[in-house]
Amino acid sequence: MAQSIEEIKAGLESPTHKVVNGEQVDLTAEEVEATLNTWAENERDRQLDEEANGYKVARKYAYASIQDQLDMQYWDNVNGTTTWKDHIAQVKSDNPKPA
Amino acid sequence: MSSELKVDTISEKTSAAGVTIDGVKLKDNAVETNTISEGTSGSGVTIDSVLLKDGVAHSGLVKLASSTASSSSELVFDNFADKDTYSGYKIYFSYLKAATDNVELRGVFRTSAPADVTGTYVGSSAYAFMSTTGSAVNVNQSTTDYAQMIPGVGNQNAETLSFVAEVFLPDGTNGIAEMNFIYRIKEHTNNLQAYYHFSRAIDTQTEVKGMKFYFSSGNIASGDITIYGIKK
Repeated sequence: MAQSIEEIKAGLESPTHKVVNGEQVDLTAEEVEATLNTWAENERDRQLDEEANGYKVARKYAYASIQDQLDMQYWDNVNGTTTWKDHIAQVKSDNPKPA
Repeated sequence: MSSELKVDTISEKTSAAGVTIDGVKLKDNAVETNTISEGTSGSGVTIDSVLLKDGVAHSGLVKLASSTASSSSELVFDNFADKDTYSGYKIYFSYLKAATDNVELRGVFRTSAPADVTGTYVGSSAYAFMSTTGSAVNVNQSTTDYAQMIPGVGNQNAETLSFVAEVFLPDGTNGIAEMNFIYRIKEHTNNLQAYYHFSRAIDTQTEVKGMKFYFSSGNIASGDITIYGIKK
């Protein structure tokens, strides 16, 4: 479950400066707070996106290559097996879509 | 007391010996010497329009800017671009390390004001794993007010980023702001080595003069960014 903004902020190192054209420029207290808020919001967005869509990425990595899947389908057709269908089902069950 | 010698030609007296003036030998239409130094401090030496200055030949690839991160929130490079002098830019990212785990590197184009170029940055990418099967093309990767450069960046030593981006900028009339780059990354999500080809752009005709880079969350712990211009 995604962390709250405050939880994320608590885990971040506060920024102190940025570098502009090679020179260090110290941040004001307002800029530090604004940067921390932005970082926390970005991280929360990432966590929410991972919760909602992480299974898609995991499935993408887990699926065999298109060439291998075509090969599975050919031999399934020749031999009457279900290798390809089993592979797809396994990837889906290993990486379920969130309820 | 000054003295002056006015002649049209000085020729060698001894065959094949050339002519030596204050230790500098002129021979067979060439200058034979070990050192040529600038006459005016800071001006460098120009030979047939090629400027040699501070150990660098200022023609072809010209170093324009460089910054080192040290727990820095962002690295900003304003007004390095010059449309009259450079046809494009190469940006070298060396060992850029994130302070926070699982973040993305972002880039923003900057105007001369200087101010961020806001709006929709579009992009696509292609990847191939380097030690296992798997490759794909990712399309329609748009973001608002920034370009997503590299997602899934970890904060371990082996996860630092080193790559080169080719950047082309609109000159106020022609072109749009674009960056194209290839990189290798040890992906945070699965620890696999992958090779990516990215292209990012924003459809603006406003003259772009600079760029800035930062991670989506947390400081840039360390690393360098150096910008070179490709002289026309």
